Amino acid sequence: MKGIMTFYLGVVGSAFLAWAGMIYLPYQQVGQLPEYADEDTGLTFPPGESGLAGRGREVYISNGCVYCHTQQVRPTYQGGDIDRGWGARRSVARDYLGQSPALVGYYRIGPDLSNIGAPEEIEVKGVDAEGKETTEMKEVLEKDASWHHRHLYNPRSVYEWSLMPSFSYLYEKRKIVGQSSANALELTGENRPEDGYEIVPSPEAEALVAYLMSLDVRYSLPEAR
Amino acid sequence: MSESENMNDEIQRLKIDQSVRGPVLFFFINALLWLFFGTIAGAFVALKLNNPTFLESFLGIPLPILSYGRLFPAFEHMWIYGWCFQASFGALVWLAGRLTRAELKLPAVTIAAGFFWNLAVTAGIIAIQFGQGTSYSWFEFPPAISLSLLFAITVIAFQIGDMIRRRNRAEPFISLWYIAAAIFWFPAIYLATNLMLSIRPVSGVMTAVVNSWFKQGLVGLWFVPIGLGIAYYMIPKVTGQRIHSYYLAAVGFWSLAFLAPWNAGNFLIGSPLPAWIQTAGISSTILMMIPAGLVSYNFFKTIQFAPSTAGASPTLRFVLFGAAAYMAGSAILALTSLRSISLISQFSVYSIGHFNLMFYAFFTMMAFGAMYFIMPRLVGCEWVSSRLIGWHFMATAYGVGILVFFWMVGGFLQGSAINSSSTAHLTGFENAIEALKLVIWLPVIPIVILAVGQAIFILHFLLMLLRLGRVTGGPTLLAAQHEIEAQGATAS
Repeated sequence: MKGIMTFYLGVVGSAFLAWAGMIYLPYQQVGQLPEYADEDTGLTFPPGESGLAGRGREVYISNGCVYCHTQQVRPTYQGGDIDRGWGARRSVARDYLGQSPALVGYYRIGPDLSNIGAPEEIEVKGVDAEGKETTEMKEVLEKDASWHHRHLYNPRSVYEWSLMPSFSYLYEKRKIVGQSSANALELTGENRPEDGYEIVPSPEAEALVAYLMSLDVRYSLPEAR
Repeated sequence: MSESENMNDEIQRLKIDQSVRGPVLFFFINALLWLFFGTIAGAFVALKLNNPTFLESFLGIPLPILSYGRLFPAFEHMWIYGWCFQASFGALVWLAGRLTRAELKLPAVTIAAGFFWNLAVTAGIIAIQFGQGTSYSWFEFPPAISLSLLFAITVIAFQIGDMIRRRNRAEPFISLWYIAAAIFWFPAIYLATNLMLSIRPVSGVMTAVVNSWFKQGLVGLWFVPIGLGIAYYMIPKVTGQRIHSYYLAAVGFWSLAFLAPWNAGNFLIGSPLPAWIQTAGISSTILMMIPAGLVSYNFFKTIQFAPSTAGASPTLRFVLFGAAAYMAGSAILALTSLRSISLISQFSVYSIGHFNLMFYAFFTMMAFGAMYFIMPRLVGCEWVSSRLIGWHFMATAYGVGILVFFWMVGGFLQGSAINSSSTAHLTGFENAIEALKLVIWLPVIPIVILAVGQAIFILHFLLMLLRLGRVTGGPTLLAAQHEIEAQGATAS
């Protein structure tokens, strides 16, 4: 090892160079982005997160949802995400403003959740009165809180082919005293508890659903146009 | 060398081995415990992926601690921090002793750091399973745990650094370069990551950048240098040949140093980050073929004249498999970093294949090779049975080869389905799940083979610990003695 100093200079230098290039430069570029203020409406994007949704984010993290779900719509040249209807535009750095960690995700055992809070729509082609071809978006599934709860409680009761684990441990089985709870799950078939009992979401489940319903990046940003 | 000098040499070596024996055995024993748990957890992950209701509850009690989203990171952390890191510590301490000819000054402190490491890893795994993970891939441990690990690894690194400072030999050893660099690189990266993700956390997409940089550093600047350090020591030692070219070795080392950390962008292709970061990741990943190719060429040229030693020595079989996996891994990674291919492999179970390629087929094999060499020198007896070693090698080599193949091919089928959206609007995600279901059961087969192989190894290791190995005769080899002698090489 001739010249231990030269050696360590190289070792330290190579690591520092990579830090400068892979951390410092990106930080200068996308680390301190401001919110985008729409001049016409005065609204700023991305919209802030509600307190309940923020707690739901913690539940999402705690249950390792990132190991099956991404939250990033890739551009058209990098996969079929937009064709699949996961979003109308690609995700950009500003969409994740203030999130720590940004839950971009690692696997897609399940679908992308960037816009899971938005209603599921399909394109319907038709012909208008003047004989011109039209396309309009038609809502096929509104994912309301009740849908999310049923899905989390037993994913296979909604999609029989699903590989998602059940999050029934975020729900409580309770004896009905007097009237049944307003937030009790509307379950059918084998998921239905025996008479006199009901399944109600825990505060964690309520927060998680609020978070999922808040996932909606349909607003537009100049850099994503 | 006169006889008395030889004697002195022998005594000095014994003293060095004596000083590192405790820590190395400590790390190896604890590493094997995690190898055991990691193997079981890995099997559970595969089973849960196939059947999400598997172990959902036990006797009517739900088991959120085994929920896939927690079990998967718990498995990864057992494998990386429990098994691979501790195996690397053991190999590191032992190699440092041999390469520097210096004693480990405070073995008790090393063991204490190792004990602390195990405590922290155990607490961290439990924390993940109880929902306290951070969602950062390979950096899931809660901040206090990560800081504890940082402390422990810094203590270990300083002791190795101290041995290097007191080194008693002048010859340049390429293994020592890798070790000396790794003990700086990873602790520095780990410190920086702790600062940027938990002490003064960055936010937004920068979290993904830092996370990727950390992951790349963990592999490229810790496990790769230590794995190659093991190979660069074992290959000349066992074959009795000199490393083919020190010049190539140096070029290989420096190209790794300057390229590896830039691969981080490779985790971020198609992500909402500036294109140049992704392009830097892709191009540096392709350039990584240079260090990998140089190292492989150097190894090949070194063993060229002692081919039967390579076949007969358990150590070399494992080490050469690991080296081949490193080359293959670099080539596959270069290929799948191309945008047109990565759009398919990305986010699919292909990545699980790549995890196994780096941490199992490459590093684990290197660690096994090191253990087969080091253990007889620590416990004073030889491995009991060449048959057991042979079975272990076959089960692990075939098992991991098939496992990686299944995950990767399965990933491409799954990824193609995810990207074919022609019917997506009608079926939701069903087509992707159906494609996944077609292939997802396949990895269970090699996982069982691997479990059998590791059970054999753990048993064999226990026999060594109980000093039940062979005391007389030469090292345990995988071929008849006369074949080796015909080659005229000394092997181990």
